[in-house]
Amino acid sequence: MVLAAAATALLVGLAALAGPAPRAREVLRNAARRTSLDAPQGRALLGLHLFGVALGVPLALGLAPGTLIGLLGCLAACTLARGLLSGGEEGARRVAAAPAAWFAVLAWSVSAAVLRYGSPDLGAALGAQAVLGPGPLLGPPAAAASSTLAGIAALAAAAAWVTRLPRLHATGEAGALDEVLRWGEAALAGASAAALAWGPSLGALVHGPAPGGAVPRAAASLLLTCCAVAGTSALRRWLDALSGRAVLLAAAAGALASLGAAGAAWPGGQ
Amino acid sequence: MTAAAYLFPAAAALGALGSGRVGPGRGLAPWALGLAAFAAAIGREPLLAPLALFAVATTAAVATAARGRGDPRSAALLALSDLALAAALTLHHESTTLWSLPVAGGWAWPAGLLAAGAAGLRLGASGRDAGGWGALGWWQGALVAWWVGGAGWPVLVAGAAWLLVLGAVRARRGRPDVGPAVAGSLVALVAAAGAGPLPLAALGLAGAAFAAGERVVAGSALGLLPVSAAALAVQRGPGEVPLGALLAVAAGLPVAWAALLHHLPPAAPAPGWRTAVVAAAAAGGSLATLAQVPGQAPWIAYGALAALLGADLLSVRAPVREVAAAPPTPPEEPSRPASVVAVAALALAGGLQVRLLVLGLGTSFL
Repeated sequence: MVLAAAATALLVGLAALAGPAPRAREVLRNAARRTSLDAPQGRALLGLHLFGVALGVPLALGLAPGTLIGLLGCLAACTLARGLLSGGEEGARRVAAAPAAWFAVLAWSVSAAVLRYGSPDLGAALGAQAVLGPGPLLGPPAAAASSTLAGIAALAAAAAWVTRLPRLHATGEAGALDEVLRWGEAALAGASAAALAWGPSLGALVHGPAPGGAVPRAAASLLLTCCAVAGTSALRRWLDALSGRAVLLAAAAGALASLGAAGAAWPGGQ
Repeated sequence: MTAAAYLFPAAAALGALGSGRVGPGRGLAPWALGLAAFAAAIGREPLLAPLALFAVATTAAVATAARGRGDPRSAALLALSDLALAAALTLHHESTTLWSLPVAGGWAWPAGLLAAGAAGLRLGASGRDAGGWGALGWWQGALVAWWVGGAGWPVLVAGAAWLLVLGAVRARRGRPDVGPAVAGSLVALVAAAGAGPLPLAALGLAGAAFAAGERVVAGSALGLLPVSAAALAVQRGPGEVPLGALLAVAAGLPVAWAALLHHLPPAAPAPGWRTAVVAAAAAGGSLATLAQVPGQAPWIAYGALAALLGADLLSVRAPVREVAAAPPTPPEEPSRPASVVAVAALALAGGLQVRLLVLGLGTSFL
């Protein structure tokens, strides 16, 4: 758990440094104990959001046992908490602007990356990656291409999801708290998108004896995860031009195609 | 059936008392009779018994709608569900010549699909009628969904999709019963993967609490509980869970959640003690489910501790504010076609029950 906390702090710190806010330390100082949330059950909702990040990042990195559905549930918890903390007023009329739509695309892409290995259990996917390598380099060309497509769709959806989450309704330093929450969301979304698409992640070095070649693979995965988190946070500056309906439909189509291909590749060929 | 199946009527009782729709002076006695009939249906043979006992809630819902105090659409859904269930049990008897209840997964083709359809229809019932019959019917649907399990997974998945559409339509009309529709879709999806009664009952209570205005516990249960339910189902062995069901759950759950998130009802007033009790029961069921998944409990505690510390560090307690009461729910518009469908379906279901009775009397089924 200490490693999980450290990894979460590392990724959140990267998201803070890469984000659009110029002085991350000042933002953090402003966010501490100065904001009163307007929504009913506001503090509890904030806790729900933080729970999603705190549990989701270790799940994505393979440090905590769990299933794919658990990771998606953490993303859902963050989205729900954000929606309720915004007072529900920023319900976007355009589907492409709605964070829920991008959440669905991110969920499908992450599902495709995990189900590629024949089980929704994250530990099983991690173990398979430790032996066989990451999905985009594995197997017949069609399966490798669908893994790559899932990874690209996941990264696009992760960045769009973080950007499209509604702003907080609060009194005090609402802007600072909003920015801090987005660091956590970028860490969670970037880790979910990258660590599972290009594994084995850090958890391979923690659970059981690592097979030969797993250490450099895990190091590469961690580096890629860090880049994905930083990129997810940095892209917020320019994302308005990149996340229209056409991009949403293309990402959704790619994610669903990858999910179908992952299912078709299961043992037994059901 | 296992003793755990009685969780469904128990949760129905808790949900109804928590909603305040039944109680002293609010038709408690007839509703209690309906609940007793629901509980009595569990594990009863011959097949005629569960059919007749389920129909108590349907008959009351149709009668309430006919007097203008109920939801005719909800009554129609319950009646159509009774018809589908009657057809399913009839087909099951004709395929197997048995009068015994099929256990989870023991349904004969295509009876299992019809029973799954019955579950999906019941999960679309709302609790807006006076007397809470729609909500009681909802819980009967959750029982049938568990009862069918993976045997009817294609229809359960289709039912989940239909329930999501229903939830979206209700949200656009400003109705408060979006929570039960979305909870119903989650119940159908997770039942398709073979989840047990405990997580399904907890999901139902979370839906009821969400509809009553509780957000944190209900929202976290709706978001995170399918976790453990699906994990427990997979633990029984990947070969026991149909691949199609797993793929449908992986693709459908994000859509269910996205639908709930996109159509969030407006900020609700602070929930009362009744809703808090229902939410606490949902939380208890969730924690009990989590405890069955090996290795997960310490990490849940880790996440909860991080959440508590973070919330304390990042926010201050808000001053107590007067929260405006929720606007009164507009009365349900009378729908003649729905009323006609309800009565006709109930009559047909009754006819099938009579046919089964006549067949049974010719054997030694009693």
